[in-house]
Amino acid sequence: MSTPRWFVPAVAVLALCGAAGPGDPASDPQPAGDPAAGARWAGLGGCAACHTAEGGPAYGGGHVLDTPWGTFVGPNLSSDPVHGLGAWTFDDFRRAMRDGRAPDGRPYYPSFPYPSFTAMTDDDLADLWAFLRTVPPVDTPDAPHDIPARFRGRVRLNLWRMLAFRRGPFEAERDEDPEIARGRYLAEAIGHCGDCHTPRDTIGRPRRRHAFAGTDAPPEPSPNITPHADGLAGWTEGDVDTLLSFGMFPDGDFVGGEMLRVVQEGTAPLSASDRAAIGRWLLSLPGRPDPQ
Amino acid sequence: MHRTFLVLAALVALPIATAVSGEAKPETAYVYREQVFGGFAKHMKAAGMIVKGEIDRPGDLAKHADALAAYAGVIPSLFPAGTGPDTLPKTEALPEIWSKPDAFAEKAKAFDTAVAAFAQAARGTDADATKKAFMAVGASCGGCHDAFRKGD
Repeated sequence: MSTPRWFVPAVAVLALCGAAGPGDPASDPQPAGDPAAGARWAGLGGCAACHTAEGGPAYGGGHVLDTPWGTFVGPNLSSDPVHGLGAWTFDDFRRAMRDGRAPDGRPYYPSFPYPSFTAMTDDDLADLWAFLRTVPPVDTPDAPHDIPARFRGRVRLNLWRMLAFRRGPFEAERDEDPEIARGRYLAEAIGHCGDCHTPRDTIGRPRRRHAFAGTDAPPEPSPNITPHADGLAGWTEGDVDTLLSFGMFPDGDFVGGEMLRVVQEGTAPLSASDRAAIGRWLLSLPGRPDPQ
Repeated sequence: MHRTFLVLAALVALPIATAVSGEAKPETAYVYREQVFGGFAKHMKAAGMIVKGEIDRPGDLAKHADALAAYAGVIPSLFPAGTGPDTLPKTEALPEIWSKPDAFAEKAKAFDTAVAAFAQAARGTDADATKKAFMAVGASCGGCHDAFRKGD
């Protein structure tokens, strides 16, 4: 006897009912996330860079990010129930990442790269959540952001979202090579490479015409990483893999600064196939000159 | 006649005196240090090919590490006074090398230490430890270039 056709949706509805009550971890159906995989996504996403103070406990918050739109302090992501995410459910976490909204519905400032993370799949979010649950509690309260009045507030944020935010999750394009799609997903949804390597317009949206063509924006200039004479023209996939594995350029020189950390915590720990996918995607981009 | 002789003698003697005292001309010091740093890069590139398994020459790894180690200690001496961007516009060396000599010496020392650890790991059988030690050397390169080389 086969399973009745109503059975699967009915179970799904029941499961959703059971999952109701955001903010109530007791009723959180723990998704079967893999914390080891989640640690890799946290590394590739660079979460620690903004959510760990210099010399402070991991994910305890407190890193200060200076931007043209204000000074933001990365909040505490540890499992502390008061100051961290200890009281969150997976649904709360998924809403933060996919929709850029706090459990109470307030929109986050896009200094939190949710416009990239929105594209993460539910499975990868579940892995990341499983990892964050393992982070020891840190009882440091979040410090307030310092944002000029003209950029502050819910109304402006909602307007910005209308202009700039496209909700995920990721979808491969028609006829997109699966390996290139995988690389694009890793680089754009999780690695959010464009946040440093793509210039922004005045309201902080990526300038698509110059995607990955490099910027001079703080904290440090980021080079053109498209296969153009101003960027990676002449690089092989092996060269990209060596850079993402070791931080080494084709001439034996090494990356420093923010990219050193990206390599150490983000791309070096990836599987060889995921790293190769990023290389294939990167070299499949159209070559673009440095923006003027 | 007498004055001409003195001028000629001075023209001949000056470069000799310079050579004898070991004070290379800024241009010469620059070309020399470019070669030494180029050598570091080539040894790192070759070592990286072995660490990555692109070429099967495991016995060479310690040789590259030793070559790096042999020269690592000389870095601060490659930047004598008067060889900065003021006199040599083409150098990528930042003025901070001379204005913050202690911080620069510390970075050079970090490279020296990382290279010594890599040389030791390269003689062992732990591939993961060797890779980590290799990456630590690279991190010390990038870490110093950040602060002391133009454009990083």
